[in-house]
Amino acid sequence: MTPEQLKTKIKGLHPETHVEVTDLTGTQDHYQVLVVSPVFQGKLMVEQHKMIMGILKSEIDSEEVHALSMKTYTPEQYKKTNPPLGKE
Amino acid sequence: MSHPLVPEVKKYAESNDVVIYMKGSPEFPMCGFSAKAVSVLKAAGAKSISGFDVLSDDDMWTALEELTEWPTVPQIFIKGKFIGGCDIVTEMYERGELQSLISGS
Repeated sequence: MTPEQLKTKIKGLHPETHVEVTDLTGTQDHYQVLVVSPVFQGKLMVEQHKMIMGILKSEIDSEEVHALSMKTYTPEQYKKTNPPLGKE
Repeated sequence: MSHPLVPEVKKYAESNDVVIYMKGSPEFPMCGFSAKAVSVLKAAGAKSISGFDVLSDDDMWTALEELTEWPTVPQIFIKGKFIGGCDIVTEMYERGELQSLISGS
């Protein structure tokens, strides 16, 4: 799965979702993703992660995505700890 | 029909404020992620940690993964609520969220 495909799939969570994808090994199957989305509002971090794993279920089950580490934030949380998000 | 031991997994998860299903025990962890999770929980203020060694009971391990729908171990519960694995508790610790969950403030 290419970084672009991964990004598009995760953006499917919500139109205002900001996604940054890092291919950790250059083999397009070990990814780190940063996801900032309003849908995470009021959800425990593990529930946020499960939402992403749910969207990528077939890729994870087929090992097309072998390893996925995630950093998830609501827009408010992200603002507190990071520089403003560039507009895409 | 869900795994017969799911209620047992829940009961143990609620038996202490901080419970970890892991490989080995808090005193003798048998995997790096389990060891790290225990040290992060202690750093976040957990006084007593109850550990269940999934290597000693395959049925409980299967029931656990069915209950939480989480594929890996360790798995951490705080006040009976499933919080996540090693990466998540570490990230929550770095954000200060784990400390407030444990202290219950």
